[in-house]
Amino acid sequence: MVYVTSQIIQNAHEDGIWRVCWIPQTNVIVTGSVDETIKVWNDSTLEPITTLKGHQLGIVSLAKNQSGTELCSTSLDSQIKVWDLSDNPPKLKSEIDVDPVEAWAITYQNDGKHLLSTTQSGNINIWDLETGKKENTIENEGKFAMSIAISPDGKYIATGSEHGALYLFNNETGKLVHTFSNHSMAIRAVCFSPDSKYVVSGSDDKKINIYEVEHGNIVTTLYGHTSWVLCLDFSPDGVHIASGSSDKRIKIWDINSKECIHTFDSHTEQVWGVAYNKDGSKLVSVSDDKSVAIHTTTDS
Amino acid sequence: MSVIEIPLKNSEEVLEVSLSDLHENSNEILSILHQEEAPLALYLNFALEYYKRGMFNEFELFLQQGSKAALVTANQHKQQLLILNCLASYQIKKAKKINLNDPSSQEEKKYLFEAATSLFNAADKIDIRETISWIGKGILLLTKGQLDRANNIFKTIIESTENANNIPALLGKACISFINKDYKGALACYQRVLRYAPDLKPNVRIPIGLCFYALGNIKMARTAFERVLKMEPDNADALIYLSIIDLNKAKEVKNETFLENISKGREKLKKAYQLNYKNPVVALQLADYCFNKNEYEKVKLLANLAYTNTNVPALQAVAYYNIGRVHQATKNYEKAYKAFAQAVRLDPNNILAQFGMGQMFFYKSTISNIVFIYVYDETPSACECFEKVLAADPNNYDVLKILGCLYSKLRNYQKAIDCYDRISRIPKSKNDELNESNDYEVWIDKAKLLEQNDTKAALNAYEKAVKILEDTNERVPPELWNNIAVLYHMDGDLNMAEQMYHKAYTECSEKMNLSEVDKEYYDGLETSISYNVSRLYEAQKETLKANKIYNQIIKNHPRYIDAYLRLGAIEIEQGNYKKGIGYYKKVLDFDPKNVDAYSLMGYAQGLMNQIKLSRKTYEKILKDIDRYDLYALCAVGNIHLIAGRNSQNKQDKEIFYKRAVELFDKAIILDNQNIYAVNGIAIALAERGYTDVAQNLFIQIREVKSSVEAIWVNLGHIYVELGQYQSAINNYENCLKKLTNITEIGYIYQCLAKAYFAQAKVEKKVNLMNKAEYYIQKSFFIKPKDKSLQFDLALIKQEFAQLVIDQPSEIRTIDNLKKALNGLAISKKYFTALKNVKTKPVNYDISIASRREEHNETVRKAVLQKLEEQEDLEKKKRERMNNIRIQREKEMKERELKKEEELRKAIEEEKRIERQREELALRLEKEREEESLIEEQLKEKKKSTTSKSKSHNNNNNNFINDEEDDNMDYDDSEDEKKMKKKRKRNKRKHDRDESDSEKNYDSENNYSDKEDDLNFDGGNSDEENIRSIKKRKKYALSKDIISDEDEDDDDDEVIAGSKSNNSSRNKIIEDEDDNYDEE
Repeated sequence: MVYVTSQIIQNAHEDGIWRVCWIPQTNVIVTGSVDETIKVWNDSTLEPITTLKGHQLGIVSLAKNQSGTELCSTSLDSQIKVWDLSDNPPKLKSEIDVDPVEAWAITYQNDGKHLLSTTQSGNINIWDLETGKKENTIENEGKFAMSIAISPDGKYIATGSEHGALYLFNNETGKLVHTFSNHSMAIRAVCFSPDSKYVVSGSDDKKINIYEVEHGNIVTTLYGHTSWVLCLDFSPDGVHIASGSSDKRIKIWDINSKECIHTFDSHTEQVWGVAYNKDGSKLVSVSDDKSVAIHTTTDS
Repeated sequence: MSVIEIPLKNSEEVLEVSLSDLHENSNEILSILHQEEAPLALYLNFALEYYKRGMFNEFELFLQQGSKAALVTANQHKQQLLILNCLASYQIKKAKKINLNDPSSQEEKKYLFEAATSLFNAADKIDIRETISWIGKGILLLTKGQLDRANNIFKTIIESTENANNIPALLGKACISFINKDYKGALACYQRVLRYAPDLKPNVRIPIGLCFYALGNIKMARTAFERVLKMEPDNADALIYLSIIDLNKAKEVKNETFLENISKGREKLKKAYQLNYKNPVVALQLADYCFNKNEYEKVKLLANLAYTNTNVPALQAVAYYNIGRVHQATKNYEKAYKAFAQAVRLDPNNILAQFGMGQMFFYKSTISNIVFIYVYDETPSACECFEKVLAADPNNYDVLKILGCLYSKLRNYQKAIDCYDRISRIPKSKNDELNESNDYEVWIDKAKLLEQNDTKAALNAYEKAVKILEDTNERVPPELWNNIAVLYHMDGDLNMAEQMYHKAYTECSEKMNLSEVDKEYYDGLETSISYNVSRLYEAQKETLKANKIYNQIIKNHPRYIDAYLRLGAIEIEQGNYKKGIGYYKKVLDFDPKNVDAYSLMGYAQGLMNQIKLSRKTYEKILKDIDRYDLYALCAVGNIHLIAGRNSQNKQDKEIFYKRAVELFDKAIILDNQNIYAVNGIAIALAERGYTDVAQNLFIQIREVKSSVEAIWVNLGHIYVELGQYQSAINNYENCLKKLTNITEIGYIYQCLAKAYFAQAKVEKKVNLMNKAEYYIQKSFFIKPKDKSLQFDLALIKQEFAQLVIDQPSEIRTIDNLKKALNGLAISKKYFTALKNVKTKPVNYDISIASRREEHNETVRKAVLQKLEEQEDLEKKKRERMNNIRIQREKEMKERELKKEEELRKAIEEEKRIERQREELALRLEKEREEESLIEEQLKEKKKSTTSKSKSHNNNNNNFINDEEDDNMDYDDSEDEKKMKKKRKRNKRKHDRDESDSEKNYDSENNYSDKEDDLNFDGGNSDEENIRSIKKRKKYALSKDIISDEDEDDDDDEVIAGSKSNNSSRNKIIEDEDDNYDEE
């Protein structure tokens, strides 16, 4: 296994970078920063393609649709902006005004027409991107939902709360299926395995928990980060998990051995975002240190 | 002579007394002597006879009677003197026999000395110059230990010519010299004695041999003793000394002669013993011999024998020393200590005994280590002993080593280092078995000492020890590897530490397999190493590995408390508070008074927000276990501090603060370096408004311990309070750099936002407000559920708009106005949301949110208006600029036209001039023609007309000259004209440039002027306003800072760690609230 940080762009944004998306269909990486801009990068050269302006405050969440044609962003300015990625350069498609902190973390429904957003009340808002209207709300107990993920098969939605509970909803019915209370602090990151069997959560309590979706039981806990776990991503083959933390490190975990197999020390500030490319050979990470880094994560 | 004749009084007859009859008839003889008024010499003779027979009572009786008889007889001074001397000598002899260590008979001894003195006095009355008396007096003084006086007497005697060969005096002098370690002097005296009395008994060759021995001339000593032995084959002294020489030789020369020497010495020793088993030297020597053969009982017997048979304290000391070391060897340390003490008391110069006693002190201090206080009782005494030894032998390696170790124990760092330095300076000699370069122990001791102050040096020392061991192919003990590992560990070199621990571990396992006996010890050691390794794993953030090992340790040693504590700490670290506390409770099951377990439990309860429980836990420490426990004192102090802060009731507040300060005070009294306590007091002061004092305290703490984040934050708060925002920002940013506790990061961002916000408002700087916005976003992003941050963000946006509005139009930009407008939209959204919450929010005020929301509209309108104005202004400005430009262009065109006109005119003028010139030329031509005509006429007329023509000529010349000048001028202008044209064109260009730049310059001037004006104006018009804001702010902030400080305690986590999530976070709003009203 070769694990090296192959590329790093310092001062990719004017300020800390909070979110990242890898969109393999158009070979771009999208980053969102506290500097109010979204930047689109060529994923092999890391050359900037364009800067998407419009948000009035820092970008707090990014989501791509499954086909990679569209990107949604939310910001502290309480707006959801929908960007058309099929155009080159990408263009603003539409905007949705939301109440403050009513669209914190977002993810696309698998139909690509709806957007799910977490709220400070713990509910999940479902937005119709065509009309820009709130179509539905999945109600939940009133703890701030910090993170959200949808299973690749579309059956489940998971949200991580500010007090450490991980909720699993049936996507079809909107019913709460499981509540996992294994974390003691805020869950800032959730993600499903590519086969939708597992859901993983990363918390301020420094732990990463892996749960079995169907049985609703905890499989294991990954210890290793020395500070908050801020972001997670599953490798497309479902073997590895990448995690970024306030301890400024990125760790790669092996699902089978349940051990950390590599640690990247490429950043000088907390790592807010990680994302694998299509085949899992590369990993992008963004950090409060304003840099974007690409890491090689393959055998070759 | 078998009979003594007593001359009968008044007769020639004599009474013969057979010496064989002496036994029964002493009284009879005495009465006869008395009756017959026998000469004094007879008394003396009889006394001596009795003495020879060992009948000392009779001996003394006869002498006493003799001295009595002397009082009534005359002319027998010589005899009287002898009797007195004899008697005195006998007193001295009796006194000598009384042991110094027999307290009951000391009085008697004193009495005997007095008796002797008075006898000598009596003798002196008879003849003060009598040598014998002087010698007697000398001996008396010698016996009494007044060596100097005795020496004077002997010296005087010897120096007088008639007594130069006085043997007793010479012996006395030699003896004193010997005692005074003047062996050369002693040798000289003895040799003199030998010359004058070669057959003297006891054999003077013995002391000569001793002198040689003492002088280090063993060969001569041996010759002397051998000579004695030749003369008297049964001389015990010679035998014993020779045996000592033989045995010493055996000790020194360890070759094939070793055994030979030993047996030689042994034989002599045995013979000496057989000859005179009472000889203390023999006994002691034999004891030494037996000691080496481990025959301890024999040693004791012999030592006792020696002790009872000598009066010489030094020998008695040796006897006790032997007893002592038997006890030491049999591990009966208490008895050994007593024996050594006795030996030292008898002879403080007995280095071996001092050494032994030092060892015993050392031993005692080691056992009493548990009872801490005694260490300081015993160890210094041990040091004294060793120091004495050292005074006698400054380069004694062993003693220096032990002293170094002792001083380390006493924490006398400097003295200990001195010892090790001295060790390094010991001259290297081949004979020494041990020296610095081959004794690893000394390096280990040294390393242990250095550990306290100089990790690097300690590591070096340890590595030297390792090297010595490895060079000699010895195994490096696991303890050594462990110590090295710990040093690396503490030094932060975790990799090296891990390697060393590994070595320690391997070594330890091997040792365990080697011997069953030490298994328990090495098992303990292995556990310690394991524990250290898991601490290392913890440091490397390999919690899982550490956890495993701790559990293993517990499995093997269910009472290994530290492992439980660490397991608890790991769980707490991971947020599993209940599990963590479970471990602490287990510790308390084993050890109900374990302060660490209670402290950690209190900390964990604090983290769980169970403040009451936490306080109770800490208080339990103070109440039941240790009321001076600093950690608990500070922790309870912090809890009270928070209680005071959260308390609404002013009276309660004051009580809580007071209690907190009391607790911190206690901590400071116990430990005046305790910055946590000082910090606590400073916070209490700051919260009660004593900002200046608090500031000083915080600054002092920062100087002492800049690594503590809380100090920087607290100072930041103080500076905010004082309105020194830049300093506040610096402190917060410093804290951010040092931040180790991530949970604080959001809070510090918020503090920074607040400070920038305040600074922006005071300095009316838009960019500072942007900074505030930046930091509040960062804080918001980290703590999105914190509504006070939403409020702050909304407020910053609104105030940003306000700032832009208040800007003078000259520096205001449309961009900023647009940003303000967008911001206001966001701000409004947030305020509306904040206003419309269902549950009463804890950390902001709904009514303010609602007022702010309303205010938002006002600001928005203002912004819109300003935007319009600004756009208008910009438009006008643009127009004006346009106009100016057009004007300038017009002017320039005109100027150009004018210039062209001028040029044209000039050309015309030139042309005109040319024309004139041509005309003139023509005229001239004409005139010339006319002239020639006239000349011709004149030629014709001649004479009378000459003068006329001349004057005319002159005129003509003048004219021509003029013309020439003009011509020249004209020529010039031919070239120049072109140049000038060029220049002019250039100039015009230049003019245009200049005017452009002037324009720029003008506008710049305007700008800066106006800016100045603005500042000034702004200052004037708003000055009051600002002041009032500031004032109000101060008041409000002091309220505010209370909620600020709230968080500080979280920072104090090292001690307090109690966190109150419920406590209201600071908000920027509160201070704004009055402000807003005004607006």
